[in-house]
Amino acid sequence: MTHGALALAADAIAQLDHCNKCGFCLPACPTYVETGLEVHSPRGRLSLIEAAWRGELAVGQPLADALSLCVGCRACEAACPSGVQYSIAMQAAQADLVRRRRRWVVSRAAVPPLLALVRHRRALKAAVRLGQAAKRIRLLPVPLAPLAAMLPPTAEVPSVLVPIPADPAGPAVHFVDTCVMDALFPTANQHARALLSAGGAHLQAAHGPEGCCGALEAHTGHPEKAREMARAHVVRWERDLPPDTWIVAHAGGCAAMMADYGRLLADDPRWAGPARRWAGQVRDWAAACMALPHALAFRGTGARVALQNSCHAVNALGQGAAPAELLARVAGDQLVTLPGQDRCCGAGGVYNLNQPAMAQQILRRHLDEAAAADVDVWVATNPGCALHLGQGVRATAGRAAVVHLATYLHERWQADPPAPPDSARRPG
Amino acid sequence: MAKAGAAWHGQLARPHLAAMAAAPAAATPSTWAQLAVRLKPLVPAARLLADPVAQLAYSYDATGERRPPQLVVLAEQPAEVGGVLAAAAAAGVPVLPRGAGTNLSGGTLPLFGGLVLALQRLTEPWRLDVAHLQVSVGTGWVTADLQRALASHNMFYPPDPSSHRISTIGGNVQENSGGPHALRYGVTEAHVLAVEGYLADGTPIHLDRPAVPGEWDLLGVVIGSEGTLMVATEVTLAVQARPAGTTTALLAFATVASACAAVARVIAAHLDPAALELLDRPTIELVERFAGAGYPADAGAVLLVDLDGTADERQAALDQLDAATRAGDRLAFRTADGPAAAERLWIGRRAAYGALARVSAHVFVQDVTVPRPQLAAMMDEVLAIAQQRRLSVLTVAHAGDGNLHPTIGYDPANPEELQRLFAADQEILAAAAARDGSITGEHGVGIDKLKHLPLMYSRDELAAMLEVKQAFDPELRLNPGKAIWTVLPPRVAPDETVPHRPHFASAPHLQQVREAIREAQAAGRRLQIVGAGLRVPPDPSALRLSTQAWTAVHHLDAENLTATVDSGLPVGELDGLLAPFGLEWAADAWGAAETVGGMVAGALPAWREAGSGPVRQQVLGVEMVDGGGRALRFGRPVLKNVAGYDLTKLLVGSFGRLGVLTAVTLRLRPRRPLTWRCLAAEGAQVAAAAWASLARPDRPEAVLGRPGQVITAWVRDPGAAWGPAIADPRPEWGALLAAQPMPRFGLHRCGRAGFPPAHEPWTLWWPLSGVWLGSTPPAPPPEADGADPAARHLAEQVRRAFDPHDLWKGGEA
Ligand SMILES: Cc1cc2nc3c(=O)[nH]c(=O)nc-3n(C[C@H](O)[C@H](O)[C@H](O)COP(=O)(O)OP(=O)(O)OC[C@H]3O[C@@H](n4cnc5c(N)ncnc54)[C@H](O)[C@@H]3O)c2cc1C
Ligand code: SF4
Ligand code: SF4
Repeated sequence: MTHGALALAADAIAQLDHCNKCGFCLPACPTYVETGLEVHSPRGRLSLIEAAWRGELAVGQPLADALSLCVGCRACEAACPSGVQYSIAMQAAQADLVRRRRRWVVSRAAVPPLLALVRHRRALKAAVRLGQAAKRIRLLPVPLAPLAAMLPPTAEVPSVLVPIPADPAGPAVHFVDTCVMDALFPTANQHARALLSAGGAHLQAAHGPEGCCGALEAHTGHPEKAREMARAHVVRWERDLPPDTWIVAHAGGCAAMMADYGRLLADDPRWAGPARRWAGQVRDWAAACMALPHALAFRGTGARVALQNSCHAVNALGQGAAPAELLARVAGDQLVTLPGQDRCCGAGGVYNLNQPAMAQQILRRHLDEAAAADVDVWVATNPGCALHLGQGVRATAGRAAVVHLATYLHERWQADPPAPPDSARRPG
Repeated sequence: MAKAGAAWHGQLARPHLAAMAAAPAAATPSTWAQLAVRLKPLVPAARLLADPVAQLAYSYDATGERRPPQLVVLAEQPAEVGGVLAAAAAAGVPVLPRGAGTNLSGGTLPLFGGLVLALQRLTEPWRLDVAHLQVSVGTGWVTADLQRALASHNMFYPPDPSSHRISTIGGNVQENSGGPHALRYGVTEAHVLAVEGYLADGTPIHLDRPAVPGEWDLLGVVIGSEGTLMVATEVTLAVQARPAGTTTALLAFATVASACAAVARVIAAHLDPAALELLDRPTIELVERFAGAGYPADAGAVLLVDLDGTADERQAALDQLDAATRAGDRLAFRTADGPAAAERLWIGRRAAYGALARVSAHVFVQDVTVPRPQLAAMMDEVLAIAQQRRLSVLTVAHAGDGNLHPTIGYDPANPEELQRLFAADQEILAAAAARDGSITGEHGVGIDKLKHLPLMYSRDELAAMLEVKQAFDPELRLNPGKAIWTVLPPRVAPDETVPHRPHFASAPHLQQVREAIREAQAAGRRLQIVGAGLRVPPDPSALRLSTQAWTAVHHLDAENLTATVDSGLPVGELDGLLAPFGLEWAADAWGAAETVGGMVAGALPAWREAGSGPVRQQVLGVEMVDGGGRALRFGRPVLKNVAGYDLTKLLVGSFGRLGVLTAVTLRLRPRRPLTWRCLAAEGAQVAAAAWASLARPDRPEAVLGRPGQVITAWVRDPGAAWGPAIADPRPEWGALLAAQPMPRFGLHRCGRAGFPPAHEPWTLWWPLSGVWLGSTPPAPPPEADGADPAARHLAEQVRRAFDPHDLWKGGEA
């Protein structure tokens, strides 16, 4: 273990400096809302990091424990009048803690194996299958036990979709098969692509194996690894894609991560420029759909539908309005806006594995809201959220069916007759 | 972990504090350990925190400094608060009540370490009494949550500090918070009816507003006392109907001076906007960069104005606003069509603080109030000070209240810049004080302005505040080192005053009062202070001191709507002076011969309490001589002032038992013709109809009950629904009362939810004050006051501080 104060980079220190302790972020923070404790608030966490950096607070397990209760939803950033980017300070602190002693941050054992899995996508898929099997035969290596609880009882069977011809005049779009999504909801990926095409996107391919975006690594104190992953993406995009291609991801957390590549690779002598440019091309899937030349039309079945938005799409990308706008286009279904629609559900990537108690406590409010609103279909925009909500609904014997946004929309999509093309909105 | 209470690296050094803040006796680690053991059975372990992480998380407030406490207790039940306080008292350790920690003055900083009592989880009870327009809530309620909960009942709690989404009601009460809409609706103080909680030793205490002669307004002193007098667990607030609608207007001007001139004209035109905010050019540039509110780029200043009322009223007010501000170099005048557009206009105002925080490492927000006509000059002076100190300043102002927030970005790591900042700070505060303004309008003294209190208060005045503190908290353990001086400077001259301000009372005048006091003391007799003598019968055993010869008018500022006059001035004379300006003093005399001082000391319910508020809201300051012969002045001719304890409140309604009022500073109101109506009603219908009239968005100026009648007075006549129009009944009532002087008539408390008892012969009932007047003489105070024993004990302690020789004891003088 390394002694001394927490080591932080200048951009992290700048965030601490700009925090005026005004407290405006407190009511936005899901953990503060649950515990009412300053320690579990963004202002508290920034103060702890600052004190540890100044050497006023020992760097050790208590600090790591206090920080690890943060879900990482970044609602505090959206609420901060002073533009403090909390996540920069938090990730820097996590990185130094991990560097000193891994077990402080990742004290609960689920994360390391999971990290290994996201680095190797095939293994992740296999683990998911194993998890699902183990769920039935009640046998699983211990570290993956919490994951098994999250998984739906049966694996999703990839459906075969009728390919939609690409529109060469449409905007170039590269759809990133985000890894957890790919392993858990492979059909949702297909649905997402299909709807992009239907909206007039000209889908592009980048060659070579698709890796993780690096979000999990960045949030668990492994910035170097995250940078490596980011670089791999940027290299492939730069090599294979037309320069104005939209980078579209289907999980808000991944989209937000990729939108941050410019900052992440700012010190990379070769790739800083391309990373900045590509980061500017990133769009969340729903926002991309809303911006496509053909307006998609949907017909529902009279269901009461609620949305669980992605924190990162809302707070980091500022693109949280698009999913609800898409849902509002579904004729026949009734969209109910739950109070917690745009608030973190507690899934937080691997948070629900690391901090199951708090994750469940946060989820409880959402479950109660959905039950009170008598929701039939609960649409999530993030795979992790979908798992988390699904698990909660099952555990409380709720009646809402949890589906991913792309799947929900694809099921209700009116391919025929196609919406009239709106040539005025075509780029170029 | 740093030593508890110790300042860390990067903190502002405050060595001067030792000279003004008494440090509590140092508690040993074993004391703390024993205390923790004692607390175990009272509070679950999960809510008793003593680890370094928790100590750190409760070491700061919005001033950004950090001083760690030893212990943090998260209270969830009022009874826990009492228990914790008693245990802390036994251990002799300091206790710091804390809400959301958003105060900007260091109010929750554990300067000497201590036990932080975190109260934001104290959200029980919630008792809304819609019929009587009041709500009782736990002090942990977040202001905005309360406002939302009330809105769902179509009710309205107006105070809206910009921090309302996170600040607690407890914090608001203890800071007497303002906000943009304080202009029309008043600061927090105007809405607090009662407070429940515990004294420093754990004694439960309930304080409400005085209703009958001889009680004094301890609650008025607790409000704004920054957690140094008691820990509040429950607050009862007055609520009202939501305004029918709001129109937001944006006015742009070429210069700050012309914007300030427009503000003065708006006030002088007796417009009553709900909010009147000013942003100067540097602010506009900055907020446009970050928030894009759409303010005109070429403007030197903009004004944001909210007008509340029905569509017709708002249109009329808008036309008046347009006319009043057209002169000079107005660049733009536009109104927001709809709430979304209004919200956009307000975004710029709300973003001001954050926008500066984006461009500077740290932000220093200043908070001074000046008489409104001096706003432009004060803004100029701030600018000149900043220029001279090579600092860049931007200013937003609650312009309608004369409350400015010059805001300076700085880097705490730059000691040379810090020196310039402190120098500028001192100069800005001195400039405000020299204009007879206040060094803090709404953010409080905390530790930040402790050192500047002598700009406003003499040694004797600081001593009087300390005596009040000692009455509540003799061991000085509650939030030590905040709000007032607990160490007094040595006395230099016998009758020290603040440098720029001599007493209003002339030297012979003061001498006369002091001689009377000495004489009474020497003779061992009571000293009866007599104004017009209408309210009290002469006491043959007492010496008399008449105020009737003191009739000077010290200032009458028709643009600020304030006046300072001698206490002996008859209200009829005052009214004659004010009438040509279209102004009046809305305290409502019972006869023209009554003296202003007599009315302030008597503080009988005002006829027009519904429209203008009770008498205490018509008094901004007092000058007095207490029983020890000290000449003291509290309050200023400004609408917002939270510097030190608000001892003005204590004197309003003191009935001559705390001292001799020599001069009073009054808040004036535009004179408005009223239509009086009289509705016939029987029994309980009187109460129901009275409260129904008060629940209207356009509630009447006056609502009074008489047996079989509800009398209402309206600025905008609602028509015959409230009975036939009648002549102004006040002269008739005044004559009636003058013919039957007290104590043959007595005021009696029944509370807001009460009504004069059926068996009592009564003449008048004031619903909002919860008092009635009848021919039953009152029991001698203070036994009649219904206050709890702790409150009575406190009142006696406070009385002794002001009347050490018992000159006024045991009668209503
Ligand atoms: C960005 C920003 C904008 C602001 N805007 C405004 C504004 O427009 N107008 C304004 O007036 N203020 C404003 N403030 C200042 C601050 O928000 C107010 O003073 C607010 O009322 C403090 O509430 P709090 O719950 O945070 O109290 P705290 O800061 O926790 O406490 C304030 C004081 O009250 C005491 N206290 C708190 N609760 C209790 C209790 N139950 N019993 C006894 N003592 C108690 C504390 O000891 C302390 O002295 C602003 C602050 C910020 C950061
Ligand atoms: S809102 Fe921003 S500046 Fe205020 S306490 Fe939170 S992070 Fe700090
Ligand atoms: S990221 Fe989310 S959980 Fe973490 S401090 Fe910010 S608001 Fe709270």
